[in-house]
Amino acid sequence: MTDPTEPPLSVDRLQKLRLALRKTVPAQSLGAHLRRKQGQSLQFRDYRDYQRGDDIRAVDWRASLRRGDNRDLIVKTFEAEERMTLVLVVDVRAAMRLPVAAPKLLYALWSMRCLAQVAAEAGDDVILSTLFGPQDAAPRKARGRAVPEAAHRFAHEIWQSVSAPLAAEPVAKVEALVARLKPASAVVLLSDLLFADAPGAVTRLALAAQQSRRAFFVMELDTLAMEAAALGLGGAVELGPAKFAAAKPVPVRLAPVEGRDYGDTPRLLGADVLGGLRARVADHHQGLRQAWARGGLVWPDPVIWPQGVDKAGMAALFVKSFPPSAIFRGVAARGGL
Amino acid sequence: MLALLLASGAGVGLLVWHMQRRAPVAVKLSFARLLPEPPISDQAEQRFALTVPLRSAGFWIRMFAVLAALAALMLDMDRRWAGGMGAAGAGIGLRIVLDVTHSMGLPEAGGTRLDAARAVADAALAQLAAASGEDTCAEVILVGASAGTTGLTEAVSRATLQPEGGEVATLVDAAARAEGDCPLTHVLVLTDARQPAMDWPVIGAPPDAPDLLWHQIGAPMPNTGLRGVSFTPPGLGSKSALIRLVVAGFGTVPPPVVWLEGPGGRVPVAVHPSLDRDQVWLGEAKPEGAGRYVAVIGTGGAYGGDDRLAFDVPAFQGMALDWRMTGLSAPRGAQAGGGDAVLVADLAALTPKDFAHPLLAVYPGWPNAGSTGRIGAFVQDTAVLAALNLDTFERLAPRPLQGALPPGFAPVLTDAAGAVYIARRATPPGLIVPAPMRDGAEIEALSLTLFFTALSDLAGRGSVVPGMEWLDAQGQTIANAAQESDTARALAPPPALARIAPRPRPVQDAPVWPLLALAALAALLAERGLMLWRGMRHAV
Repeated sequence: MTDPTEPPLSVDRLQKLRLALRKTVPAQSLGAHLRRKQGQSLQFRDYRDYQRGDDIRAVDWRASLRRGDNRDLIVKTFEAEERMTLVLVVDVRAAMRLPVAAPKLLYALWSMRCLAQVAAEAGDDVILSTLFGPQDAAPRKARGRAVPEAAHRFAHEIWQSVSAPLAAEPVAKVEALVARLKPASAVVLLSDLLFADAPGAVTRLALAAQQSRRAFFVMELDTLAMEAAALGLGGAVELGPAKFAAAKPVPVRLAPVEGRDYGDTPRLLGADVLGGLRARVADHHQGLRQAWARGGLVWPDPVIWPQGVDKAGMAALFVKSFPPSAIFRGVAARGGL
Repeated sequence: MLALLLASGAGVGLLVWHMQRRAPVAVKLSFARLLPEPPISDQAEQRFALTVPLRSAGFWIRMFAVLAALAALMLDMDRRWAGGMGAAGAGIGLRIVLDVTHSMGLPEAGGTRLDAARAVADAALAQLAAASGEDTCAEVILVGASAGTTGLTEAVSRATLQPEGGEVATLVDAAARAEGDCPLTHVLVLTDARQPAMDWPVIGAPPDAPDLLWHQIGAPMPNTGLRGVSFTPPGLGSKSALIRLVVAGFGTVPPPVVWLEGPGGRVPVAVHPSLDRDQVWLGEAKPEGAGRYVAVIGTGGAYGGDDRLAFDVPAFQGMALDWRMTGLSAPRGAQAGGGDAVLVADLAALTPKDFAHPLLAVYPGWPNAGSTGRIGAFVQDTAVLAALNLDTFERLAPRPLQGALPPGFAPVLTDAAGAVYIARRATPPGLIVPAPMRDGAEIEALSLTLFFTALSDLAGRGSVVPGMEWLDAQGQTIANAAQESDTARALAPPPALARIAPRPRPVQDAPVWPLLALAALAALLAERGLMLWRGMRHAV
């Protein structure tokens, strides 16, 4: 039986893409995290002004004297020899398994496995973690050739696991993951970003991921248009047996989602309600962006589900949208981070 | 008709179920948490509406299940098949019926009759195995007092003697039993009994019924055995209690020497040949009180299972009577009074309290000058009427009982007008008969016969057969060993085992409805599987 979490991009295809990108994409253009980190090697990298906390042994006294007594000390920086770590965080809320015809979670798992594959070929460490799931407190770490199998097993477990009820409010536990963030890390969050982050757990993760010149990547998966269009497409996308007409609002019973309960009374869903939705989602994303914005936040345009797409169509979407994505290009171009 | 109604109802119900609109299912939207508050719908929900079920796979599967179930109920159709036969339709289906009763343990050719039967069975199975190119099957039924279940051929080697006798009819029933998966072409019966004169194939069997090979085992061996025993308690007059034994001989045997071991020790039993039966001797002995007795034949012959017969003699005593008859004295040996004594009195002289006792009441039926009575309805009361010549009774009929019967009594013999001659009560036992008349002629004989027959019946003076238990030399009980006594029967020539050769197998008719019912069940299972699969696909 075919593993549904197997990405539509083959390993060979990923390797060719990675090799092509390493030749053409300038690493510097993709953010600070992609530069080699300064560290304690013997390979001289650059001079810079002394900052509080720098090792006093790194001060180049001769160069500092040449600048004069009234100037700051100058320290030498070196190329880092530390192994880079890619942290892949998958949002596993029950809502991520929607829409049923083309679940966002499946796209996220495909992305996770492709990024892990690329990082493995570069010999980087990979940390795999869920968000809003029961395994939040136990991130998994793998290195080198063990990474693809670990990512495979991790994705399979997530896909086969039973989600918490859709009606329950999801809770994120990021402490364990934050504690394992290494200085040379990049964190990739794969999510639809529709969750409520009232306790600020995800924000804590985002901020911690950007400390010490690290980076926090966000892959936004957007199915709003597809799900909303399905309401007016008369069941082309399976959202239950109710029939929706585009011309006039139709009565629909709405299942409770993440703490919001509409009761058993049918509600009228029409263009006005769905139109207001888009604005509220934009406000929600803006709030997240403001809360997370630091120097290392990379939040490219979202991956948008086409109308009427099913799993096969989602695979085609992945093949088309994932290779040119900023996150993949950044990871693949450096052959590591 | 009932099946048609049930199936029609199921079909209509299925259609109605499909042609309704389901209650709206809650729609799951991943962005529902962020929706602006949608207005509440004030439209009425329709529960039922016409829908077209033709695109529903589940509908067609369910419809198929209903039709298959309907066909299973309605169709009276058989399919013919020749079970398991080869391309040519010929083969060997052998059933071995093996007698394992106690007499099969008699010595035979250095072993026992059962060993000899096993050898024949092995030869037959070897012949079956030799027909390797044919389609063959075999089964075994072991028969003792009753026929066992149909088993595999390994049962032949595991067969053991059963401590019981059996009847030939049981062997025939096992041979003709219609069961098992092996379409029979041959039945081999291995027993020491002769083949009875019977219809084979059994009445009603198809013309291609299996070939019967009755293989009698065992050379004739003379034998003498105890066949039965009866006990007669002390009767009217001076007659004492008596044990009667029946001994039968088979083959050329000397007159038996019989002993009786009981509470009084070991005593010889005088035997004399039966007047009406050859090779049968009758023996009589007086018991020395109640207890366990064992009759033993001194020279029992070949079969030892019927040489010792144990039985229990119950406690017995003389007849207890409360005799109030006038003009007729109580019989000798009768004991007076007692709570269980039979009250013998004139019906007209009885008080209501007397009816609580066992009772023989008489009424003045004779003389009946100019008797013109004719016997009317009567019940089969053997104990009272067996000794009565009804023609004589009709010719000399007494006057019937005048007045109503006492409570609890029911007529036994009446005249043509329904008037009662004889009546009986079950509890406590009671009889009403005409009073004896001493005229020194026919009426006296008739009336006394009727009177004392009734008295003997009420006093429970008839012979009884005590529980019989045959014992072998080791004291083991052999059930119905008398059925095994005839070990001297002539040995019939054995059938040729070469007859166990391929022959056309019987064609069997099998009903179609189980297949249809199976198809209906499979359809329902498939429908449930489809729904489960869809449910898993749609689960969030």
